[in-house]
Amino acid sequence: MYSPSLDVLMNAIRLGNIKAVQEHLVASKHHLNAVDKFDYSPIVLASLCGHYDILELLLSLGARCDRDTFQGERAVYSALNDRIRNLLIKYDYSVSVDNKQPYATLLSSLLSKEVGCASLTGIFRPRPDGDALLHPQNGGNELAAHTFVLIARSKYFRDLIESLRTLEVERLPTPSDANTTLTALRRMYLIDSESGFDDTDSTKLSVSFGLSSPCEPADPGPGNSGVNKRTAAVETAQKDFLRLWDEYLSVPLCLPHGELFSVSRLPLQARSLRPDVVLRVESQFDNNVFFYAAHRAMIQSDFICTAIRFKQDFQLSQEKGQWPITVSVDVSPEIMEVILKWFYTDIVDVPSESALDLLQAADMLLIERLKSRACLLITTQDSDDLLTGELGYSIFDVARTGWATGTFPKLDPFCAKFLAGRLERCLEDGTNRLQFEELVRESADRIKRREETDTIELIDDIRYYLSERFRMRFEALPAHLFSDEPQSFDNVPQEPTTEVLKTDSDEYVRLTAALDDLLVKLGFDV
Amino acid sequence: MSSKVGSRIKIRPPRKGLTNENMRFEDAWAVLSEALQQIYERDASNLSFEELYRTAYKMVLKKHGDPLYNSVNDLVRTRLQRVTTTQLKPARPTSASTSSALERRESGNRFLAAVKQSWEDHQLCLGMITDILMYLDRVFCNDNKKPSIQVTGMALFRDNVLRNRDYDIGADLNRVILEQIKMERDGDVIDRARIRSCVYMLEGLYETLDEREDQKLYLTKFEAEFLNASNDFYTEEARKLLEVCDAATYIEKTNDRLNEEWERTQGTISTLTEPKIRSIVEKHLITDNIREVMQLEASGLNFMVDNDRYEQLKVLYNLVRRVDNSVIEIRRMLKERVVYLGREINKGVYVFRKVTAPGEGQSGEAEDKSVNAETAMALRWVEDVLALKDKIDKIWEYSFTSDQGIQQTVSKSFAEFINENKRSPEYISLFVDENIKKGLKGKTEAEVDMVLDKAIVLFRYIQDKDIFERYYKKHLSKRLILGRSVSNDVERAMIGKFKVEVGFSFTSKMEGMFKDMNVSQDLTTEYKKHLANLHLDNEPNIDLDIKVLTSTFWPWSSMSGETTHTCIYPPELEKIRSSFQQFYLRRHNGRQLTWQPQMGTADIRATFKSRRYEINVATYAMVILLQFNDPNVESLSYSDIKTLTSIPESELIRHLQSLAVAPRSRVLIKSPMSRDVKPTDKFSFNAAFQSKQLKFKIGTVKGAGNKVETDKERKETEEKVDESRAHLIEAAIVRTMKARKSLKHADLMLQITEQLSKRFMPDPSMIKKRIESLIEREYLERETADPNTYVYLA
Repeated sequence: MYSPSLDVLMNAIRLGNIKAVQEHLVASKHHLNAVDKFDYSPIVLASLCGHYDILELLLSLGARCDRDTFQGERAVYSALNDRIRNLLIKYDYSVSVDNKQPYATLLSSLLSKEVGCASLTGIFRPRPDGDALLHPQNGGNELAAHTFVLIARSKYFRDLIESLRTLEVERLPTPSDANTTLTALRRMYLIDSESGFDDTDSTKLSVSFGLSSPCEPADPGPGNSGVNKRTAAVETAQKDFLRLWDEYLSVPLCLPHGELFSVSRLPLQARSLRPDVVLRVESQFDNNVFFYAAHRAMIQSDFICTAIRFKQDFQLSQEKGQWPITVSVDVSPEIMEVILKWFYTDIVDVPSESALDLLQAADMLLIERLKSRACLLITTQDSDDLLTGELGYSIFDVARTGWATGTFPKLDPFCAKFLAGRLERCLEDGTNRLQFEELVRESADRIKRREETDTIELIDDIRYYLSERFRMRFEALPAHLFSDEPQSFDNVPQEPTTEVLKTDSDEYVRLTAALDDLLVKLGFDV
Repeated sequence: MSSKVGSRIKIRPPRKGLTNENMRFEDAWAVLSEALQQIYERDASNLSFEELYRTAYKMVLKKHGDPLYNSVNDLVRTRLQRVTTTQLKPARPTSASTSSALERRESGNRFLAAVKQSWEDHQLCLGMITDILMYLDRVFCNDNKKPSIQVTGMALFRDNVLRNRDYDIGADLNRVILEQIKMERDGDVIDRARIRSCVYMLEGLYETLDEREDQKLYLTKFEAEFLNASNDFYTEEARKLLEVCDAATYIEKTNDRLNEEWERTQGTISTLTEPKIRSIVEKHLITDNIREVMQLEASGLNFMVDNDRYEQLKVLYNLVRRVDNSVIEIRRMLKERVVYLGREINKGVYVFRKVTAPGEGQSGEAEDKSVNAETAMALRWVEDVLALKDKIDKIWEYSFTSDQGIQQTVSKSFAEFINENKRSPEYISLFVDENIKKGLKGKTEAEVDMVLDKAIVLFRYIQDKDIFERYYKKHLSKRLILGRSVSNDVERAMIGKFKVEVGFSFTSKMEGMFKDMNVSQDLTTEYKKHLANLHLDNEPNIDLDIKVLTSTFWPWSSMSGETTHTCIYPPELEKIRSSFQQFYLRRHNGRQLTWQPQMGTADIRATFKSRRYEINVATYAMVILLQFNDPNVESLSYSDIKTLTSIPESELIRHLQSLAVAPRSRVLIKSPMSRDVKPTDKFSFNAAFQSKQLKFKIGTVKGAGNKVETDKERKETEEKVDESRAHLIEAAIVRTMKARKSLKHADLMLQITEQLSKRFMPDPSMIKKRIESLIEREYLERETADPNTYVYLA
């Protein structure tokens, strides 16, 4: 990426000549992220020499400065002063789109072996190769790709495969030559996702391959077009796969229990995607069994991947070897659909009633990332229904699930805060109290099993949040209540003063005492 | 199928997993253990992975993780114990003493196969168990800090198979492997792959649960025994080889063994052992024995060097280099040998000289006789030394891969014996002289360069370079004056090379000599023009080709000898002489010209029997001959000629001999016709002289060609050299003291030696004498406080 006039740009940056830099970049856009023969990129130099304005200019034009790249990290640590450093960090989009990164990496790793993502796909390491071979127009090497990706992201291929009417086709012609096809593929697989959509070549490409036009990102970064482009690209992909899910994969095959399954019975839509794994779920209500088509490439569950491998090994030894492999999963069809949709789109779309089920399922199937998402869903609730269990599960279930699934670091604080906020109701005689007591006992049990400490975690947490609850109430009161100064202005509304204070602190004391009583009653010396 | 937000009333199925189902551990475990048994029986095809996984999952949720973990381990343990008893024990190898080699090998193989099989089975089953119990592994083991099932399984194998309390399979395994390796070392063929598999197993097992790399069972249990056994084996092997083999075979076998062991670590045991076994072999076969091997009379290093055994030397070199990068032993022995061979050359008995092609360095027929036997020997010496250098260089380049250290050794060796021969500077200068005069005729530029470079190589080795300088100047002057060089360019090239080697001071005088030659040529031309301008055309023109030599540049003592050279020139010559002298002195005021009649030649046209000849003779000879031009002269006696010409006696005798005695050139008749010249001898013009050639040269007896000095001459040269050395030493002392002002005796010696070492190696006693002399002449003085320190006196 080194061309003669790059040195001109570099010198301009060194000297702080912002006008020259600007002019230069208008002429040669591609120098924005280029690297010269000393291994410097423009933002590194600008950062090193301390030219804030030039740096700002570069970043606003879209210079990449993410911390997980060599040049980006360099720019940050060689920043001449804090002001520059902060500017760079503000623009660092690897932080802002971090939560989209694993999904993009997962997809990219299907095409390029250099993109590593072993941790996302569990034990079954080698990424499944593409099952379709593309023939570029003017000869050149064949390119391998995945049918389902092609169908999801390119209208051209969608139409083509549909028109072919047979599922056995492996070779597909492409509308362009090898290079352009490769570029298109990389776009589809979210590699190079910040290359612009605005130049004419890529527009042509989009048209000939029928790629979806990018949407406006939901949450634009600070004027940084690189960030925006990347986010936009990922979101476009998500939309594509969502459509794929809805139209092709979301409807399972439904068979009565006992009937024999065969691949040919899957809906045509699903089969056209050439799935290599079928997930079998039993309905809890009736006698039906549901079969969902899916692809190993997108499965992020260690359980499913291991099951596939396990069965594959057996099949090899028995010479039955055929795709797709069927794996039975012990979850409800609802949950299965949520999970599968998430595999393909990274979108979790589930009502909060099912959040706990989702968490348990993710735990059983060993899907770490989904567990975090599920926790997020759970902990954003604040309805009293949680106490009663109207929603299908109670706060007590939540706590227990947290312990069982190892997500208690996220769920414990949530539960404690919730309970602290409604401690009165828990202490009233009734089912709530019984459940509360049971939970306390279980929490105590947990600790006694591990080490000899005196406190019960749950109680500690509740106490903390209790004090927070009342402290906040205190802080909400006007400041002059705490000071001796005479009241200075008129339009301050006269709040109920000491009465409120008294009631609140009374309340606090009362609750704490009642809690202690409960503990004594249960036989704990805390 | 997702429920709508609005509807609250909904019949949901009972929640699975957590509180409702009460699972009994025993029931669940029964299911699992049955499955595990089936796995071990290789009957796993009907198992449902998902169901087993779910069972284990539930058990963990129900807090049965602990018992499950323990039960699984128990099951594996039991299984392994059974395997050991039923499969491994029967296959245990028979004890060594009672069976034949074949039997032992066979039973060893069976045992290895059994071990391998049990290990592979174990791995396979453990893998499947780990898969099924994945949830237990991830969640339970992590939370409770227990080692994973895989790790535990490995430890179980180690404890219940290899370290089974009833049968020491591990020890048996070691024994069998070592036995087989010994067989292979002795030449048998064994099944390597099987051993390899068992070694893999040992590499995959560890002493403790934290599975540290340095705690592999391979390292802790096997390797040490292996190295011990190898040590014993190679001690014996070294002894055997030394006893039986000659040098070439020994090194070959050593190489073979090294390769064998290397291969073994690649294909049979583990590469981890490679450096260790290599050092054992190297120690026993190389470090301990190689000196003896090299010293073997009939086949050792000396033999190899003498007989150009390049390959063997190469192998030997590489072997020694493994243990000693600076190959000290080889260098030591090589030096000894080279010095020995060099001394043989000095003695004149060098055996390995290649036969040179005829014409290469051999002189033409006419001059052959003038180069006497001693000079021939000198030239031969040089050529022998060069031949030895070539030979050693070849060995160095090929066998020793141009090793730096060895090059140093070779240089030192050559320097040593070359400098032992006191005549070497002279010989080398003669060598150059010969070549420049004749040997380089017709050679290409590249070849010329090569010969000159060879001379430089030898020159480098000379310690007393100033002696060489003296000789070289002498030879050069003769060549220049007599016009004997093949080409001036070659001369200049040689001087150029000297300059590069030792600097300007060495070559300044020589360049001066060249300049004189050039200037003389110009002078001659100028003088001729001058004569033409004077329009002296009534006189027969005598062509004068003059050479004016600046006295400081040229080595007078060797040229002029002791005698003063007087000469009475015939009138024609005298005229020319004074004319030129005037001409010259007018040009260069203040200079003094001294004519050297003992040098130079003249072309005379003489008529004998009405045939006109052109004869080239020495100046003196010409003067003598011109005496006979006088028609009144019939004959002249020796004393007459002496009086007339005033030529010094020794010269006169020589020239008369060449004019009257030497067979082909008797232009004078001598009576009586005898070799010696006595004062009473008479000489007359030999009108009847004839010669086949119209143009010929009368050489002088005991010619002016360069040859080896007589002893007397050599002593003279040495004295002269010492004299000039004394001056140089003094100059160096004064220079040093002036700079340093005060210096200790030892330091001064050091400084002087260092400064002068480029030209010659100063003799410490001579330096001391010079210091004393300088103190006497009050250039230095001794410090009163410390008589060991000198102080410079301004």
